[in-house]
Amino acid sequence: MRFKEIVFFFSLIGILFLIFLTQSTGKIKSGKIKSVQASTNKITIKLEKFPSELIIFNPSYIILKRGDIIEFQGRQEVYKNKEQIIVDKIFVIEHR
Amino acid sequence: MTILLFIVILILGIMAGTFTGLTPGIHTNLIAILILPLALKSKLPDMVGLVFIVAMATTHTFVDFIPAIFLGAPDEDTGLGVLPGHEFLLMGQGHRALKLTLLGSMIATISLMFIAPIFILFVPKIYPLIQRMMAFFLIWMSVLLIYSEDESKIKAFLVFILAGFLGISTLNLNLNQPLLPLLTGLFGTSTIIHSIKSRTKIPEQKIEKLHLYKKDLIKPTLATILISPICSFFPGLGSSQAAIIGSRAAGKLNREQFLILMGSINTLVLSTSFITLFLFQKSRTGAAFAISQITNLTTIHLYVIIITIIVSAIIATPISIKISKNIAKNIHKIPYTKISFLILLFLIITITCFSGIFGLIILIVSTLLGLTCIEFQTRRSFLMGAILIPTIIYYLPF
Repeated sequence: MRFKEIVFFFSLIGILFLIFLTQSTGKIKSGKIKSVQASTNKITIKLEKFPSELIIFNPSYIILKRGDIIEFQGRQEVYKNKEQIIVDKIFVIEHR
Repeated sequence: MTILLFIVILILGIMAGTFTGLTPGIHTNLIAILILPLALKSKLPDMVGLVFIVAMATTHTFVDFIPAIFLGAPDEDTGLGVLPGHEFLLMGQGHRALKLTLLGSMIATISLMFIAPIFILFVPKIYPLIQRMMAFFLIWMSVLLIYSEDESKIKAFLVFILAGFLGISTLNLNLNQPLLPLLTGLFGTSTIIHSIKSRTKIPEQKIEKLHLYKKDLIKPTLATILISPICSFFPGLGSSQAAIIGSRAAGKLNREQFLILMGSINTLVLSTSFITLFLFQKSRTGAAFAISQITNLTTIHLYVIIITIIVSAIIATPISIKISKNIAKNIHKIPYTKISFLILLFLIITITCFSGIFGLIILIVSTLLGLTCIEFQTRRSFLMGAILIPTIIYYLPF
């Protein structure tokens, strides 16, 4: 195999490995909704016994209310000295 | 804040910006975020932190092309400048390449004074339209980019799509500084490894005056003025994306014009990000984010920011020329392969420290893809699929 084919082959393998890694490393957390606040481009959720606020930017159609139990995946960020989780995926697993 | 304190803080900021700019892999965002806890805990006035961060970030945009051109080691904003810069270096014109990027940065600083009022008046009005159209605009631009490839459109498409998958996976990995390993691998380490493999010898560099026709400046200036404000306004669009959009929007640019464009966009994206913060409380650069944590910007703050940018630019230009001249005079005497190995090692250690083991994996994969692009003899701008495709997905309205 020439150098060109070797680097191409291993970059393909590497990208596939990273895709696999992305799918398997996102930790799913869950919690019970304490409050929900919606504005034009984001939803802010507070959970019971959970220190960080959850932020959903540009939300698609989803109905959330106090007492619902949700599962979510997202990334932790600090904004104005407050910890927040920017939510990538969210599912309601039990309505109140 | 007294004038004397302003000058002292400004000089400290310029020194810090020179350090971050010269050190491969260290971005000003990183330093801004590292000094943030210090700025928040200290009892110094808000203005001190603000002037320091603005001076540091502005100087960084002037100096950061030096490692990109002379060592092939870019940061997040200079990735696309590596290739034309390196070509100039191999022709003995590395110093000329640096002067072109500095010229761009100075054009950006002058343009800022005209752009700022227009930006404040018009951008909020057209924001919803631009936001709706952005994804389609980027798709159109990507198609145009691939269609314009003369050699092999299939290879170009393949590289673009693979880079897209790489970018999506990287940005979804929850990493600290994800763009650092991604862009260093695609544009930096791959270039360095290619140089080592082909036993590149750096010729003696010429130190000449820069002569350009006025018409050479028109296209890059117009492209910068049109594109930078838009890019500083939207998340996911940085200097590199602005350079691609700008170079497409302005029509065919030669290598000199492209380097001017890279320099000007790098500085103007940063400068307008402070105006964006003032207008919409949105931080689009690490420096703007750090300032947003220190204070709520007022009109007085904005004036101080603009003055700091102008003064820093005036001081950073001769500093950059002096450093570049010294490197250009001596670089042919240094064993370039050994230096390349050292830079490679430094980048690997830096990335592992800041982005962890996943960062190292991304660096390896993106280096392999960068090398694939070089071996395919495809233009390196297709590697920007790593940023463009995730950005398109972000802006798609469905």
